[in-house]
Amino acid sequence: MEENQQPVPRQQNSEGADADSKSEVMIQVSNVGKSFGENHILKDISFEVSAHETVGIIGVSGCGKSTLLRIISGLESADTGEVHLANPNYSLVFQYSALFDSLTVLENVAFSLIERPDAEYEKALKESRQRRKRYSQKQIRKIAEEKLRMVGLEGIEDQYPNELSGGMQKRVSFARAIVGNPRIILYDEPTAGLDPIASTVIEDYIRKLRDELNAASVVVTHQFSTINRTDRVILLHEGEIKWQGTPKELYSTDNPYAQQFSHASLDGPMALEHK
Amino acid sequence: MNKDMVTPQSEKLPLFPYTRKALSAVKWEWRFLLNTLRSAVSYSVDVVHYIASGQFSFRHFIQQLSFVGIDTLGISLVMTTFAGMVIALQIAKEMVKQGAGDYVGALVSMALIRELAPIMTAFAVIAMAGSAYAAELSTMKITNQVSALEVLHVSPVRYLVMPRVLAGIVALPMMTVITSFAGIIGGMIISHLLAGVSFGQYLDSVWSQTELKDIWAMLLKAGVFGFIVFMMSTTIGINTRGGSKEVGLATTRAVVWSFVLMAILDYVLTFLVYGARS
Repeated sequence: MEENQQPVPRQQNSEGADADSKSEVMIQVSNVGKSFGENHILKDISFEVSAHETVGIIGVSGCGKSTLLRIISGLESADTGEVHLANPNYSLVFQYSALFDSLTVLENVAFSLIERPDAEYEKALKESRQRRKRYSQKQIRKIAEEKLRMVGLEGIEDQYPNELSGGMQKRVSFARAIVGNPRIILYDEPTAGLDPIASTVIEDYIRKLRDELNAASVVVTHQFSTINRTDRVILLHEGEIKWQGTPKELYSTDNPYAQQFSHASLDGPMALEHK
Repeated sequence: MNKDMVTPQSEKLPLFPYTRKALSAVKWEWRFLLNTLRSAVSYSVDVVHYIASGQFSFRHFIQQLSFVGIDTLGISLVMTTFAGMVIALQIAKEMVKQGAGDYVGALVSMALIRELAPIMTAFAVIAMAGSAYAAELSTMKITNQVSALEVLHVSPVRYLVMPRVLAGIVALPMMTVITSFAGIIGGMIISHLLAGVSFGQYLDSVWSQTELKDIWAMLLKAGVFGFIVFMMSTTIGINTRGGSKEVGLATTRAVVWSFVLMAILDYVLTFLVYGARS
């Protein structure tokens, strides 16, 4: 909705019938660059995420992680490069929940089941040989309750978001994101501000979605417990990918950026001050 | 402190600091208006596209219609009733004295139907619904609720702007018919109480002097005002950036620019409908 915003070239595969293959590239980020005025947030970022893979994006605050996620989800336009999503059915879990405050918890979770999506989206689904199912009111309530139960929330269906704690709002937002069984899920700090038990519930569920839906996930996070449960980690700094590897390698690599991050050290190439 | 670092006041101050500041504010506001109008035009095209392609939610439209129509009708009625009473208060006695008592009703109704009823109803709607929409949508924007809609594949223009603008286009003419009627009745009571104009004399005067063209012009004005008020409020709201301060600014701007554009359009429409007469 930004003014003067040209949508980033985000192609979606119309031949998505065999999208279930584990090796299929679900997200392809090619040479993406983004600047806000003189501030170059992202410079020539390229990476791929396959089906059944969870990639963690890490880095110090302000290094462009959330901007990258917004570009992948189409909320922000890239100045250069392009993003290719192999499936139109994607979802984003926002950092600060972004629940609709005039709707109840149930209406929030079931939003995509209640509201008719844009015709363009329905067309893209059709082209990728998927169909948006229509449910009765009773079925919608049942599905939403089931998703809420999965994130450990029951009996709050008729409450409004402002009646919930921050952690509960976050879990409701997670339930809303997964209600349509997305094949690509983007998480912007999904466990920040949650207690360790709630964090484990969300982390487990990220893995469960990966396994059950063959979903490709990108998780922006600072939490080591979340990082450890990803398949691959990409470390961003000053708009560039400085390192990538498995979570295990993050703790053993010689890369100075990865070392500094994993040891939470003040000494290293990543300074705290921002330009 | 190092003396070299201190700049003498005479060198620091520009020659006309406030003039420059004011000019810069005007320039900024002008640019803001142009951007808003450009977005409003784009959203209007989108709204037409959504209606034409059947992507229209009757449920959302009715929700907004009841908010605009029912919730703001009370204040509109009070304002136009008193407007009719004030006109009668100003002219009834004098006109009866001059032997023109037969024209009191005509004058009150003409003023209300042609001008005051659409304007005052729109004022009430801007104050109550327009400001509420701008505040609601700007809050949704800065708390990422608008982005959430996009991620859920629901166009914010279709979900937020369209039902509100259509509700405005439909509600305002209906409300204006009711409020103009209330204003005429208010004028009738005051004319009778203060100048002894009988109800029959007053209503005959209203009936004989009101043309069908006046009614159409009133409905047209109200519909256009409804469109402009809600298009401005929603466009400003949905394009807000920043924090709570910007929510306040967006609300103020929506109200101010709605008033300004309404005044300009009122002149244009009046000229188009009645201009050739003189």
